[in-house]
Amino acid sequence: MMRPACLLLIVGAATLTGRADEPLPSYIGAARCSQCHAPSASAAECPLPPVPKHADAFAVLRRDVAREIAAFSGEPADPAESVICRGCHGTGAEEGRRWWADGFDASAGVQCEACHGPGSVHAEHPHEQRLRSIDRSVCTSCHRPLPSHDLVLRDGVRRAPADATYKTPVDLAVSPDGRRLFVACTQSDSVVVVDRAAGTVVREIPVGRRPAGIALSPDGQLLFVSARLDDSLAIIDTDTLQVVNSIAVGDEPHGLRASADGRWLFVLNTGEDSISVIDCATHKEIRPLTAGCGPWRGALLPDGSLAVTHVRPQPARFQQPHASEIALVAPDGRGVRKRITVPDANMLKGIAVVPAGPHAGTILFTLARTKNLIPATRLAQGWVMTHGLGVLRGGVVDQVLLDQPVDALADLNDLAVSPDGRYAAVTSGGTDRVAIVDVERLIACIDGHTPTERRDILPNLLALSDEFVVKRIAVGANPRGCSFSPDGTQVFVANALDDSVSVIDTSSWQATKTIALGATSEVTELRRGARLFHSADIAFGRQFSCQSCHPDGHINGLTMDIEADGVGLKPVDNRTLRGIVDTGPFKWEGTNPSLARQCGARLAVFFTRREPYTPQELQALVRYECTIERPPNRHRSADGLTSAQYRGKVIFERTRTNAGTEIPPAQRCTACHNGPYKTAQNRSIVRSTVWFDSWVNLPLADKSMFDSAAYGDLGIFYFADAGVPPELLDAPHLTNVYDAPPYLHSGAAATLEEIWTRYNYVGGHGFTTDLTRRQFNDLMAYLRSL
Amino acid sequence: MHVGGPTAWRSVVAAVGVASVWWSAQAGAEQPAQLDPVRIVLTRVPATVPAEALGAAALPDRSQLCLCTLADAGAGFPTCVDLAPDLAAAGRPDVAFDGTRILFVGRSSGADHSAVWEVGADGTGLRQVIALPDRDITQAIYLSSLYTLDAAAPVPLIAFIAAGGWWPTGEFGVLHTCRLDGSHVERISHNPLGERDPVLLHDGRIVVSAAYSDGWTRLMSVFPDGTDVALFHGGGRTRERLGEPSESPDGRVYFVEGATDQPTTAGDLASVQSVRSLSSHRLLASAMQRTLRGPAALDADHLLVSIRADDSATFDLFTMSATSGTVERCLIASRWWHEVDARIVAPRPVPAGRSSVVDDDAHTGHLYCLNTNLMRRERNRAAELPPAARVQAFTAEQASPVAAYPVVERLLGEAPVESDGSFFLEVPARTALRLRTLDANGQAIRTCAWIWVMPMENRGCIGCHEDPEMTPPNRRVAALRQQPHVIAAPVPETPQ
Repeated sequence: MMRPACLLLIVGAATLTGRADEPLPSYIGAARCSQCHAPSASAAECPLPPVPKHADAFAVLRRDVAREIAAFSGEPADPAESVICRGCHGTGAEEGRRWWADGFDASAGVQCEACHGPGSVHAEHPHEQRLRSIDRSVCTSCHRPLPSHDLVLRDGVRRAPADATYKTPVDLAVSPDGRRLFVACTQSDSVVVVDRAAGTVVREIPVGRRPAGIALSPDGQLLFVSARLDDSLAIIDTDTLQVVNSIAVGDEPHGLRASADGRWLFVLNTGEDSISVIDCATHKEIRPLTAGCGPWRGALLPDGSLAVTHVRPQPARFQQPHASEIALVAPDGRGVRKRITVPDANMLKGIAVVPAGPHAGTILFTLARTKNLIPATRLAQGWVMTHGLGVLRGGVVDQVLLDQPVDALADLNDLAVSPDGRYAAVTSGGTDRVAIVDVERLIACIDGHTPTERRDILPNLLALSDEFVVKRIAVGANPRGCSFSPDGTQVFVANALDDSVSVIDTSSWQATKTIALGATSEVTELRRGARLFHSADIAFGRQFSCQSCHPDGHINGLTMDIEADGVGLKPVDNRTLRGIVDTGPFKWEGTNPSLARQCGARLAVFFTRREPYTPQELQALVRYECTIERPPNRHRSADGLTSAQYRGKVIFERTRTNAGTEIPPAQRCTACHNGPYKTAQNRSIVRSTVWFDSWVNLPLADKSMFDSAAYGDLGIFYFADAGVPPELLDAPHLTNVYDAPPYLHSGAAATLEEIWTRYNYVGGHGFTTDLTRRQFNDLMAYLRSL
Repeated sequence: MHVGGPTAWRSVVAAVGVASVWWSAQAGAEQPAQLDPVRIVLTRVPATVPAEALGAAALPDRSQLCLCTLADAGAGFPTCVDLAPDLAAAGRPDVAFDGTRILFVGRSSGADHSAVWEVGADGTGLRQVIALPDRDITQAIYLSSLYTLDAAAPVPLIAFIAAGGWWPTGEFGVLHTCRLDGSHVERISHNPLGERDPVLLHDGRIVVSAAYSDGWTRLMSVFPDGTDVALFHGGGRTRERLGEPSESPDGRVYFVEGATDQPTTAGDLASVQSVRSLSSHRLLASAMQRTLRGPAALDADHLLVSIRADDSATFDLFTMSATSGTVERCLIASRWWHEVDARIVAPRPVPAGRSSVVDDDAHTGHLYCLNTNLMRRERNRAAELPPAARVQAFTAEQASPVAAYPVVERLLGEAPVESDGSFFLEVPARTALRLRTLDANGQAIRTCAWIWVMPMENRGCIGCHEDPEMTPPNRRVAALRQQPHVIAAPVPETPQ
């Protein structure tokens, strides 16, 4: 039984403040604590009786059941290495081994310092350095309901044996001689090599975790595979089919493309918005380039430049239209020479250059046009989302839709162009189809309109696709990467969620063959859930899937105007689904206690407008969502926090201002953000209400409410001054918070810093006004490490 | 209530030969329909009933609901049985998605109002689903499921047309839904002129032939909760009267179209794609004006249609090529009966269900327009017309005795249009509405057709008669930054 007793170890001593000159304490371990705090010693003894489970807490992380819990909580790391798991099952995990004193035994489970904080300074200066006082909140930061644990320990849920056999092919490449297919399989962490003529698997080559992109050198001798979870690149000799090297690249490497001369390899690091330029001879990164938001795939132009798509839009002013970009990288990889804006578009993913014919050199790319600024009240007529192509010629971008009025081609994943430049194949992951586009008719259609129509009409018109879409071909579940054969007679499509490659005959435009990649044909509950997550069949007109707003379980970087909370009101920031099962309640208003409720009936009523999931479907979907992985934090080193991050942590946990006065408990960071996920899992008042959150008390005729000079551009000052009752909002978890802009419930803050520099007018979002610039930067550094 | 059973099967109507009549098979290179075995349910109406009356609201007396089993080409005589022999009249069938039950309208006696009935495809289990005390129910179809937040699970529904439209001839009724047990009756259309010929599309929309104030009928779509009413096809480029829609397995919607001076019971055969219904019109059989009605899909390539040779003949049942409109075979013919409303008795995919925001506890909904100055691009008259400054909302007060103006309208209220062309209204739910935009001088600019919102529905439009295949531009509009302007519900006038 846990005791609610409060204990203050040493009264009257100083607490940490996060000043630069302040020594930062390390963890010394329970053995060292007991030297003083023992019955025979002079210092006070811990009043809590020994809790054996605390000591054993770390050991359980090495059991199989812990790995199951980790899997169902989206934790890709071994539980014994996971900061999240060890946050409650160990001591000093968050700070890391850099802050473990000699002799500190991290395997000793939950020790004294797990609750009281690191004790090295206190041990040296027991009367000058105060340790953390303990109250119930310290206990409940870990001792709280955890759905992932209930799922495994109480309900006995486990991954099925068949789950371990799935491949999940996401990208493919065809050898220059056309004899082999190389298929990157993200779930099996491997590359499957297929004999094209026989349609059989030749070899499966293990690579790093979560392969995402695949590319061949121009001569076909080397195969490159990005491992998104490991931040690495595997280099494979295609003669021996052996991995010859594996090198570190940037965060979440995705698309790959070798330069035309084979000298460079461009690695698109979608997690850190950069492009690694790799010397293919030395296998060394020679320089990183700055990309836009979420670089995704690349294609080579005739002059050797690399055109790069970006999956997330550029940061936009609050409630202003977003735009994405195509970046053009210089042929020698020495820099990004041009950034071309694609207005009103997001999810730029597949890209290819027309290689021949009258339109050689034209860049085609896939896109979505998400209508996040208008209320999501209808699914007819593309009110929520449309899907189409971008056409880039001479620096000018045209956009056309592939959707028809009640038949969308949701979630366009990849695009390939035939060797003769006549046709483009586009995969629609949400509708399990491939659209074949006649390139010449596409260009003619665009050129048949005036510049004004091309700018204002074509991007929003559902009537066009019949003019250039030759066929919509059904393929396997969730098609992703695609490629034409070198002779142009076939198109190969990687069907992610049935572990196969569809072969489309280009003379008949029929899917003539399906190549199985060696996985089981059994469909487990998690696989069913994955299919539901990626299927646009859930929405009227197949306009979107879960994946459409949560690409790969993450975010699309946009805020939406959802119908449930009023038309035109309360735009809500899209939140990640990575590793969230234990971070409920869900929804910004915090009114959905479970994922099942979040994804259940209300989703159908207010979003998809079709029948809700059956109970079995909902269970499968939610369990799949539980397994969506949270990638490693790139701001955190293997050794743990840097000094700056550690100082930021001290500020995050402080109870007194720089002047020494006590910070009201409700204004402390830890009041709302505690525990391993840094969420109190409750609702709080942060006083960040903006114009768009409420009509309350706004006189209709009073246009001064839009007077930004008087009230700030979002009206926060107005609401604060007018005494409008503040809203209760969910305290979000902060894991990988660096990777989820924009911020605040409304998405008003473009950066973490803006939460406090622009939107903390009345201190509702923590007391930060006394922080020095360096302290503030340390706090931001710490937040990024979470 | 009359209960069917084995007795129904004893009422075997005289078998009718496969007539080698005036249309011989003209299949050409096309594959003829495979008919072995095929069961068809249809309405058999006495030949004494004038053909013009087949399309009237009331089901003609002595109409029979017949189940006919067809053999393949030349194999002999279809056997037809009356599935509801104890009813005074029965017909206009719809087949359940699993192919085991048939919904239809019928009367127990000549004095009764027509009601909705259901019978098993084997003739058993005849039951009345719903009857209205004061009105005929003239047509009924199965719907998929409807889900609302206060329901434990999605609920299967039916839709039916009840008499009551204000169209002067009385042939148009009012679209309703109810559950399969006849409970929870909801009126889901508030077009004051009425509608007829409902059909459920695979995507969950109901398409009906709706009467418009200009005297034309168009195909209109609406969801089973009454939301999102929209023009499905018609207006401008097609004929004045569109009716009897039916969807084929490949997603084409076939319908009969004719001119207003033609009988309402027949016309030409046309089709549109359900995904691009506004711009994929195709005329299939234009040479048969006045002679064709009731298209229904036999399969993706063939239709069942009722055709008559001339004005004095009865309607007989044929197959027709869905691609060329070529009449292929006569399936059932009789000089004593019209064979109409044929439907295949077989399982079919369950259409999409609907989840609804409609809340019966509410009394209002919202209407918002993103830019009322945005108009259809090919008739873009924006430069000619002044920008809208205000918008007026009218309701339908009562039927008018003047045929040219069948509805007496009443002004409900007026609201400003923002400088960016947007407006935002809170309007009474379940109320027929027409919106009219005015310029700064109070001159009318445009008026829309009858629309409505259901309780709690938030209905948005992009522009004013904009291109119906245009998606909204992604811009936040000024009107939605304020509370909606309230348009009050009409208050009945009391005598002085």
